[in-house]
Amino acid sequence: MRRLTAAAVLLLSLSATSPMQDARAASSDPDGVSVQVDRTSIDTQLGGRFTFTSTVRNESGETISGLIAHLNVLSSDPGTYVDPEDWSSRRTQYLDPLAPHESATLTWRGQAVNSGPLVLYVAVIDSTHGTVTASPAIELAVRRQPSIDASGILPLAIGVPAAVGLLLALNLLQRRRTSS
Amino acid sequence: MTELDKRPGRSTTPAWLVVLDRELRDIWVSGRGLPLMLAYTLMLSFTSYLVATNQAMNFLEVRESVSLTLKVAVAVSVLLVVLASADAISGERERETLESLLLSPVGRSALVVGKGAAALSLWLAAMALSCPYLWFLGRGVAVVGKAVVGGLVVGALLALFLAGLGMLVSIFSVSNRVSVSVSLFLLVALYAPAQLATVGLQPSVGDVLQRIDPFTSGLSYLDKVIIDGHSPGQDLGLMISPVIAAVVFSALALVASSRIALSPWERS
Repeated sequence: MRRLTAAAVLLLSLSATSPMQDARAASSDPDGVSVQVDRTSIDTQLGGRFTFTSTVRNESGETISGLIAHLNVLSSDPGTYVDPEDWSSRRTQYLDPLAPHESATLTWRGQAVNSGPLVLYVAVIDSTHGTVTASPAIELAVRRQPSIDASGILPLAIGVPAAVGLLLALNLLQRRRTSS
Repeated sequence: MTELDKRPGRSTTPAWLVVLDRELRDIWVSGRGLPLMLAYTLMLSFTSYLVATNQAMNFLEVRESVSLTLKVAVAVSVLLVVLASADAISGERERETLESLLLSPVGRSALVVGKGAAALSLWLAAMALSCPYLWFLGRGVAVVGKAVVGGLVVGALLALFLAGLGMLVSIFSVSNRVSVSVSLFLLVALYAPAQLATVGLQPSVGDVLQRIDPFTSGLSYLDKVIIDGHSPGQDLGLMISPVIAAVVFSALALVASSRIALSPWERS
């Protein structure tokens, strides 16, 4: 429940501060940090791996410490269940203190686990001031991959060894006849 | 060729073909060829079934499924060649039939060529049996032809390499057990560093280690052609070690054929 609430809060902050059309523009808090991402969209296929970077910048005049960046993924299709844990093994990064106007670049790696239209974003939590700043959203389009029609595999998987087994049986029979 | 090969009045059929004919009968009519093929097709059926039914769970794309099955097919089929070639001389020695074989009017090099070619027949039959599986998994993505041709080329080189290796070890082994063990140990000794290279070594060092092992290098080539869609000539560097291994070990086996004797320690 707490996770869902947190996700809802982050989503609200995301929609309020980051229009999808201008994803490279920083989402910022003039007294805190801004968060930029290096692309507006990612196109991949199911199981495909992707990488992007985010830049966290201290916009204030004082050093900020205790910044935590967190990667989130969600589906815009209400029927799709997304578990972000499956998407990346390292979704949280702890930042070193940022001096005034200093920035840090973070690399994020993930693997597409669900197909369909999805959204990725990075939220930066300032644990000292208790504020959250989200990056612009990255539109993630995950294509379904061509799949194998597995319905015919069983006859093949049984048929080929059966044919070889039959040959072997005939061979053994013939050898027995010859020797007797 | 020895003096025995040059005797006048003999059949015009080359001696190695006579040996091949006899060995093929031994393997396919009264030997272990068919039982090995049965085990091989069972293994391939199991692999294909898992690949086809678990595709969504494992994120295997169709090309990856074909490549995985092909690599298993190539690897296991060429290992069958080791089993046969490692038995070629040491097996005769162990069964005490080598003496009569050496007394027959067949040169020692013809013996090695004939037995080696017969061992390769196991690989050829196994590759032929893998075609229905590759066709099933790869239909719809136009990759079956590439997979079959690539598998035949890489498999032929690896099979020649292993036939030469097995034969070479067999010539100098007192028993079949020793011969097979040493051949497989040498393969693992080549394979292990290449696998270690994937976990933690610098990419340049890892790449060199992988290219040194003919097995890893050849199978990587298949990945490049089938999964990445590269043209056959694009990654020819990966074929260097399989080609060298095939030529060197076949030549060494031929050269060592003059050393075939009743005991591996005595000179012929």
